[in-house]
Amino acid sequence: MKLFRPSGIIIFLVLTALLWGVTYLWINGWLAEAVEEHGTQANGATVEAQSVSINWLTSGLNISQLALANPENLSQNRLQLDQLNFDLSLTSLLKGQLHVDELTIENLRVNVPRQSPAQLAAKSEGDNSSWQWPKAVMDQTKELNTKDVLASVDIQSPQAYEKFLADIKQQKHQWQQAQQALPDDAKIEQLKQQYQTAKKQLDDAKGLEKLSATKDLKEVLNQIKQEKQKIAQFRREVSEGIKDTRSQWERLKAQVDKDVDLAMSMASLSPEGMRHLAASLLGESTAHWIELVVDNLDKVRGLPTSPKQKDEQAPLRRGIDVALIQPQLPPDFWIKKARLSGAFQMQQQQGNVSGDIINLANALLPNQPTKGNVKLSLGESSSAGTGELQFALQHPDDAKDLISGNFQLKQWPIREWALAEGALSLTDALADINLSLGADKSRAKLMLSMQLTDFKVNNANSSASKWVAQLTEILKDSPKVTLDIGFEQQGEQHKLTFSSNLDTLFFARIKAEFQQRADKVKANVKEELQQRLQPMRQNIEQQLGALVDFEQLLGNRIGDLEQLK
Amino acid sequence: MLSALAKLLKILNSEESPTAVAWAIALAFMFSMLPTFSWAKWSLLLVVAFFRVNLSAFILFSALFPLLAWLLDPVFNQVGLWLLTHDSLNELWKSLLQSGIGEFFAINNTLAVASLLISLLLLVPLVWAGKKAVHAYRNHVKKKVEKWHLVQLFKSSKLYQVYQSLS
Repeated sequence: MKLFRPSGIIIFLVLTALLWGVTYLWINGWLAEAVEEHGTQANGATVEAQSVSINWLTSGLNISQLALANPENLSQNRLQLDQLNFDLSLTSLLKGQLHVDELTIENLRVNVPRQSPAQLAAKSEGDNSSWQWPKAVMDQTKELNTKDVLASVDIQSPQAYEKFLADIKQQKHQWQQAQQALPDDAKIEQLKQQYQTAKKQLDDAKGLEKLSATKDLKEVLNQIKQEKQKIAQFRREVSEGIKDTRSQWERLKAQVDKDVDLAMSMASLSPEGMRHLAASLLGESTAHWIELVVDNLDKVRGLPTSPKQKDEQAPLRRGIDVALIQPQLPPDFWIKKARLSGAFQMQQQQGNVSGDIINLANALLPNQPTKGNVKLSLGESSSAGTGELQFALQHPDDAKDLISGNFQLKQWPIREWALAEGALSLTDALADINLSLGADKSRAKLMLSMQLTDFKVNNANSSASKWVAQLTEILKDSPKVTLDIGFEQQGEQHKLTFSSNLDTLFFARIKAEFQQRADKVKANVKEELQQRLQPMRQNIEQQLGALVDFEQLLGNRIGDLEQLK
Repeated sequence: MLSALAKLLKILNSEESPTAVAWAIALAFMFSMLPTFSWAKWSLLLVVAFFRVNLSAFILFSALFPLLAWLLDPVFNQVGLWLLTHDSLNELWKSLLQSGIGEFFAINNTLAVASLLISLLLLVPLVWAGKKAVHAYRNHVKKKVEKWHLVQLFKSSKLYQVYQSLS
């Protein structure tokens, strides 16, 4: 019996040729469609691939001329790659796992103009980010309800007014008590009678009787003098008391203005509030990048951790994978190594990119951190800007910090940097950027330090608002723009800090603009507060008037007694 | 079921070498036992195509043995787990995995390793038993079977005639 079967070999060769033909004619086209369709959905706008091909011998997948349109600017590709090669593990693929032994990316272009406009993909629900600023900050400060402003602060005026009124009433009561010990109208009348009688007796007296009448009159006058002194002393006390109360009242009325200022400060129309607003506008472009990082922090945190050993029941005809070399089982999706190389193009400027990313997976692998180190250069070789991205995602068993990273750009040429919702832009700038990031399961900290120099200022919209025009003037006068942003997240709490060298200048310029608005709101708040305090004010004024009347009464009595000479 | 029986009878009654039929049965057993993610399974197809084993028998038994594979699945897993977690064999598995052969045979999987080793161990006995069975059938059972009413009825059926004309 012959050992070999020539027909079998021929059939095998024919089948191989057929498989190649089917792959070439049909599967590659089908794959290209799948990449474009699913890519468009994930990207949010058109994704195109010139060709997708499978190499059965090397178990490789190649995508050439991959272009991802920018959903926010459909005339631009946010990313364009010349070659994308996947060295796939077919054994893993047969198990339903996608393991890429090596991913090679050649020639990377960012923000490249498209020949024809892209189309937006229909977005599914929940795609929108829940954390959007500075729009949120802007919206909060656009409208101010005076009642809300007053409700949000601890206004001292009403309590102080009430206390003051009670003090006046008590003072009045004390004076009325003290007045009872003083001669009243009847007593004064009685003294008048005694004086008249004593004087008549003196006039009618003759001889030695005059001595006795004079003595009686002196006694009456002494008594009158004593009573008058008592009233005068009490009156002085009352006068001084009224004077003190009046000055207190003036100070109390000034409390309303203090409360209004406090309310305005709380409502972010204080200098601090305006400064924050200014920095928000400056940091708008940066905000999108920070938002992207923060959004993805949660995604990374949500990654499962790869178990050391599966302990579940083996599914039929699947068996159990035993971790023999690596301490953990492989995840379902795993790019063991991704390599970037070749040209780098951004905003029509040429440069180079090189770097490696290892262990990109849908789970955090113990002892095998996801690490990346990518180097970039852009611009003329003699004065090229350089950039470096380093990051690591680690398994919770390996390190306290789940995510750590650093991104640096030095003398990075920027063709256009949009500010104030695109109302103006900085062109041909040089940027120094340093972004550091650290996060564990419950806490995240991001620090961004940015400096723009050598820029030109372009005001795209000549009819832009007054403050945009003011910002344009400031930028024209400033040799550099610095911006420091800090972001901290602890559980559900977010804390955001901004500072910029333009804060002071910008604040001074826009102060007048904002001051008008602030004054208007301030007047409303003041009016609201005054209306609330008006009844109490009237009551206090009445009480003060009564005190004055009381003082007047004492004065009249002293006058009556002075007539008795 | 009837067509499978007819096919089996046709193979056994044919002039095909008993060795070719026996190898086909043994390789079909191996093919059915191996899981789909082991490249050894798909390499077997090349062996079957390139060497003179009985294709009809291979196809027939490849269709029958998967039932047995499902029944033996828990046994394979137990054996595989024992083999892969046995301390003295640990170095062997590691060296196989590092050499690349291990990945080809999915050696870290309990089902793949056990089914490969068991079917390799049973390969020669199955060939031997297959040959003996074909010989025994042709020498002793064939004439008796052909006299069975069921077989005669089946052979006279239209289905069998159509099958004969096509094959």
